[in-house]
Amino acid sequence: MILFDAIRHQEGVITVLRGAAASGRLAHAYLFWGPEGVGKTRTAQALAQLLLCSRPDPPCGSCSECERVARLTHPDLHCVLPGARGGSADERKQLEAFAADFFYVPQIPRNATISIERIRGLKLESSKARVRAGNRVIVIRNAGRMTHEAAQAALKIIEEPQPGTFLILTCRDPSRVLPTILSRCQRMRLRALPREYIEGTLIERLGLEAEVARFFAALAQGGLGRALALAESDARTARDRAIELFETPLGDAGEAARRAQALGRGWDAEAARMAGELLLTWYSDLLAVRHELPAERLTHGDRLPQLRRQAEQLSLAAIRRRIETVEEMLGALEQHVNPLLALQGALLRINGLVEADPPF
Amino acid sequence: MSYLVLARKWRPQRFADVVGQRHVALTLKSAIENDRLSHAYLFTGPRGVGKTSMARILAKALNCEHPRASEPCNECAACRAITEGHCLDVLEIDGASNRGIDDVRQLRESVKYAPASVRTKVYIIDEVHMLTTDAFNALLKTLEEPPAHVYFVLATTEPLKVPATVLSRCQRHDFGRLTIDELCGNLQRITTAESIGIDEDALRLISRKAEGSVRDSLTLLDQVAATGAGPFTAAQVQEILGLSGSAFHFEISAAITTGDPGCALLTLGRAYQEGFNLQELADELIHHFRNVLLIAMGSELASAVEATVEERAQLVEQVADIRPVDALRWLRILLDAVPRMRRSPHGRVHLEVALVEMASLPRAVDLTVLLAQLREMGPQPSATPARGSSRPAAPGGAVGSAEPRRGSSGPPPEAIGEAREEPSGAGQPGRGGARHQPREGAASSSLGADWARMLGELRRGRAFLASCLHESEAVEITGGRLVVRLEDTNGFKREQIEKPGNRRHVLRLIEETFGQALGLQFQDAPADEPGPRRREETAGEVHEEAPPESPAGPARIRKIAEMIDGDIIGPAR
Repeated sequence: MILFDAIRHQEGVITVLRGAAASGRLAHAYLFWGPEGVGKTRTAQALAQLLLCSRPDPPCGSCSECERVARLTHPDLHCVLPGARGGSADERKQLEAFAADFFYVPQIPRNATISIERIRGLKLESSKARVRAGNRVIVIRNAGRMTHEAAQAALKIIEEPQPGTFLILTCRDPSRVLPTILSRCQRMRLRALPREYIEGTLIERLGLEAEVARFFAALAQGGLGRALALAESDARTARDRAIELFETPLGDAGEAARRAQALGRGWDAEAARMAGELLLTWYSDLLAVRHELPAERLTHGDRLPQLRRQAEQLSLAAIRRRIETVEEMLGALEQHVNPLLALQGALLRINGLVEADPPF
Repeated sequence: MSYLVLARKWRPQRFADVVGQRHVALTLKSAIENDRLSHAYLFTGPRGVGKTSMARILAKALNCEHPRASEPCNECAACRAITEGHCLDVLEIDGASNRGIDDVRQLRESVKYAPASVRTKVYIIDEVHMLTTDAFNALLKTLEEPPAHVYFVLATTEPLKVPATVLSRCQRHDFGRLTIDELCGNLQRITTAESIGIDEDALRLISRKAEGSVRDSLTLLDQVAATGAGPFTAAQVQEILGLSGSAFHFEISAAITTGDPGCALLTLGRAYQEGFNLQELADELIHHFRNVLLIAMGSELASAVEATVEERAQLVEQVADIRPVDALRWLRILLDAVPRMRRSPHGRVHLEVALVEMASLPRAVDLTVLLAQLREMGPQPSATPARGSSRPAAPGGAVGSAEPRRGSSGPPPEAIGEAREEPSGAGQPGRGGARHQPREGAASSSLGADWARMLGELRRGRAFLASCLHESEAVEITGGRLVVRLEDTNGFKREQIEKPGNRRHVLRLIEETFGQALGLQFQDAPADEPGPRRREETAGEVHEEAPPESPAGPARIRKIAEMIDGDIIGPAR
């Protein structure tokens, strides 16, 4: 199958790439960037198909090269994921899942990096003769996760790779990639996917109810992969719990502690983090309701009455303070603070039961 | 299929071709002419400004068989071999990959052999800042005294990471960022040669986006050219490069200038739906409001505005009634929000808060306009003498005004009322003061002196206590109590003095110096309490700039406060 044809809502980038290929102006290094799960790696794979296809007017989608690329078993296609060492079981597993399921988003551990050894390995690999007759394609996923050393080591191959070698980097936020690398790549921004499309796919694939699908689609912020992951982790229940925990007024500090104990029992750092992120979308909705934006723009449209009530009560400064508190909690979790403590602290602050820390 | 990107294809091959960096090119050329070349160079500067290219040109110039005026001919075998990168004697080493001591040892080994095919051996170590400390140290000896046929060129974007011992052995040349004009001129030359149809505004846009780097500008140009159909306009380039299109930030800034937060949020939501990256949008908004600020500040700064002609016209129209103070405050809010966005898992909400804040920010009141309005309010009330009325509006007015009270006429009734409206920090000295006025008024002249004497006494015996009272001032004696104003932000000093033993000691000394047994009462130092935050929320400009000797009476001050929707905090000091 021709992967380019299967990718939805990225026509702009794909047209440019195919046009460049047709006129022989394909650059040797690309950086695809955009939100999580919009098809960056898939587009990289599709471009690899175009570069490695052996028939005239590539990609044909049916020759053995094209099929190998689609299965990610092409010997001249190298994929690098953060964290895993080359060919290790996990990376292999992720790539297999990615090849098997069109909507799969490879799961990258939070603190995974791409090491300098991995880049050196690529360099060595790319200095060898190619296995098949055509080009060689190197895909580096999450290029922002390259360690400083790795990124520096990659500079030279990104700038002047051997003829016939193409590099495709992907990342979510280019500001996390070394500027010297950015300056060597053609940057292509992949768009957030329309909410309706995500909604439809969720209904189709997971058989969700329309209202539930709507919620996940809105929450995913344009990333289909993210929507699927959210649906899997049941973000809706998590949201309800987070709202119950944080947005019901509290009498005193004792009650805060009790409630955090009761509701937050068994929350690990991951659950607390998710609660924090969900709360941020809640506050975003609060702002929208406060300024009378149409209800279909809301993520939490199903809880409109509560949003309205809160929007009336809270000042802008209060909303802002809540956002800052939640961000602080997320920062604390990042530093391995006990999740229950972090929750309690945030709860106390949001309810104004303790003074916020002085700014310095 | 082996297309060479423009940045590589147009890599300069002669000193004269290097865009900008004339100071480096000239120095190197004349060094070659006069045979005064250093054996080690360090090229530093931001990405894509020609460091590696210059190093290669230098290598060629050194080895060219038919140099013309110190420029390489680019035709002889040596030049070609170097350009194509297979000359055995010009070694380009990737310092980031070969960064260990073993790599340097290997290099040391090879240095001593004479060049194989050309006159000199040139080692270009790119990204040299990534060498390990051991590797740097191993390099030192060779770098200082290499064999006569060897030259080193080190190139780096981060000279601060290169040890001083290496720096001191190299001749350092700093490469600068290029101006938009230089970049634009270069792009024009290349587009003409490549016959890419693109108009000048579009080129300027690319140059601006390249942030001073030639390579960035060429990469961007490549990206534009790769879409095929020319000629390109600025709008198309914006679309292709995925710049969020000035449409959105113009719409957002219009919503902000008209004070419509809902509209700003809606536009942001739409931009998001269309797939624009909000981080980038925020960066462009910063850029936009910088332009707003520049235009608002006046015509002489307009040349610093980076915008296409149409944008500029649109900007000027939008900015018409905006004052620099407001533009500056908007910019501050944005600048505050952007780093938060970057850290946050849900950056959008930070941008939203910022936009709402910006749109609901009340405009600062122009002081000159305000003064003009004041003048129109008519002559000042004749009952209020100018001198006496300058102070009582202060919260501690009654407290700090021993001086006017001594005056024979006494304070006008209106002034006293005004002073009591704002409660003073500690108790009711104003009322009590009035009863004891005659005696204590007379004493007040010696009050300060007595207090100072007491402090001197205290210092001799209890230096620590004296230091606690260091920034204090005796205000008055009221109802058998000495009122002392104390600068005490966190209550620590007071706590120390209030300890029973200490207090007793101080009281005893007071009795000795003042000649009567007095109680001790503290009072906060005024004007520090209201804090900067409150000032910011009211129209800060007015409070900061209003002269304390303003002829306006308290009634007028109250009126002003109403006009600007502000609070009276106290006299400016």
